[in-house]
Amino acid sequence: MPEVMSPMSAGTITQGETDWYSVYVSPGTSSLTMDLNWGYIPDSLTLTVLAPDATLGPYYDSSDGTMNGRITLQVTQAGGLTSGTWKFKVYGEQVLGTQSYNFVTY
Amino acid sequence: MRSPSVRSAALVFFILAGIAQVAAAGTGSYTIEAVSPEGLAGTAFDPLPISFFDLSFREMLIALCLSFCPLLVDLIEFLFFLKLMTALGYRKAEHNVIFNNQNRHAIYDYITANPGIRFNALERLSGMKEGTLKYHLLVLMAKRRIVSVESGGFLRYFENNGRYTDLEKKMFLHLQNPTTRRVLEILSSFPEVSRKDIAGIMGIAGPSITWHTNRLSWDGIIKTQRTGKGIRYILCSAGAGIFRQFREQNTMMAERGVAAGKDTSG
Repeated sequence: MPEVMSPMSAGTITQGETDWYSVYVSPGTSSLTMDLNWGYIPDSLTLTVLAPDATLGPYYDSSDGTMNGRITLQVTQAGGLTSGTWKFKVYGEQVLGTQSYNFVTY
Repeated sequence: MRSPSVRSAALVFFILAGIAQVAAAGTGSYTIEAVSPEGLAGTAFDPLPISFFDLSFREMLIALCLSFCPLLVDLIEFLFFLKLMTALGYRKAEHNVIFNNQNRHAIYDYITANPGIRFNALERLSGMKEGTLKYHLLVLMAKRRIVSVESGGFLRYFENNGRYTDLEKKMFLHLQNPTTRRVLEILSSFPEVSRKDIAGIMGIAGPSITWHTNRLSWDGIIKTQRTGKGIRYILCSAGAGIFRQFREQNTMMAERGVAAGKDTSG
């Protein structure tokens, strides 16, 4: 068993299902990195970012240049990101059965 | 004199030009770059799961557009850009007002960074007065940003990620203690094991075992049975299920490298 037992959320999703998440971005934050990891290439999940002042995406497995069942992207903005609550839409675009995933930001 | 059709065409042109400008300004001012999993650095933050109904009016409209007609997203952004909705009587609900207070935000950060933190620890970390801290905790709980769980006679605070029951949270707290975790592993492998047996396996004194099992018993994770002069412990079915679930989840994450900051997928 791993030494650290974490309550970190690991969601599950089915085809056509949408999960929403939010993160508060403090004033002065220069970048936000998103890591959506489901690790199973045949399934397709998408990630859409709803910033307080813009809609970014949807992003697909290939959006980060690698087809690996994982989307790792970094958002930056000159002068810092707009502070406020950023929302994230995780969508099960093509899922066989139920797919578990992990979504974290840095 | 211009005809109505010319004026309509000019209006449509103006709106489309505005939408194009907003689309360019809205997404264009942000830079999206791919990051290699190996390049992920810093502290991983667990986003708060929310429902559709936690979205603001603007976000709900965008969400509906994304589902049914993505082309309209730019139009919605354009309308909000011009604040026409305000002119139509719409008032933006300020969801972030809760975090406008620095003290409250600091408390939330402490709780996020220290799941299950106690009031005294929060008081020490924040340096706030008891009354101030209580007030902000009440506000955060009322806004469903945090939840409190009673364990071992103390209130402990968690970020409200909405995925775990009270018993699961208590189990998580116990799993942070290596000795308690070892007791749970033994109870999971050997049902109805006695205190003497546990003490023998772990090589520690019986009273120490009692201290850990009492805490597990208070939280409803195990049951205690007296058998003559001895005591036996039984992992209750709910507790056993949760312990198994935590163990499987962490094992699965470790095997697949899905845990934050790790990469196995290349």
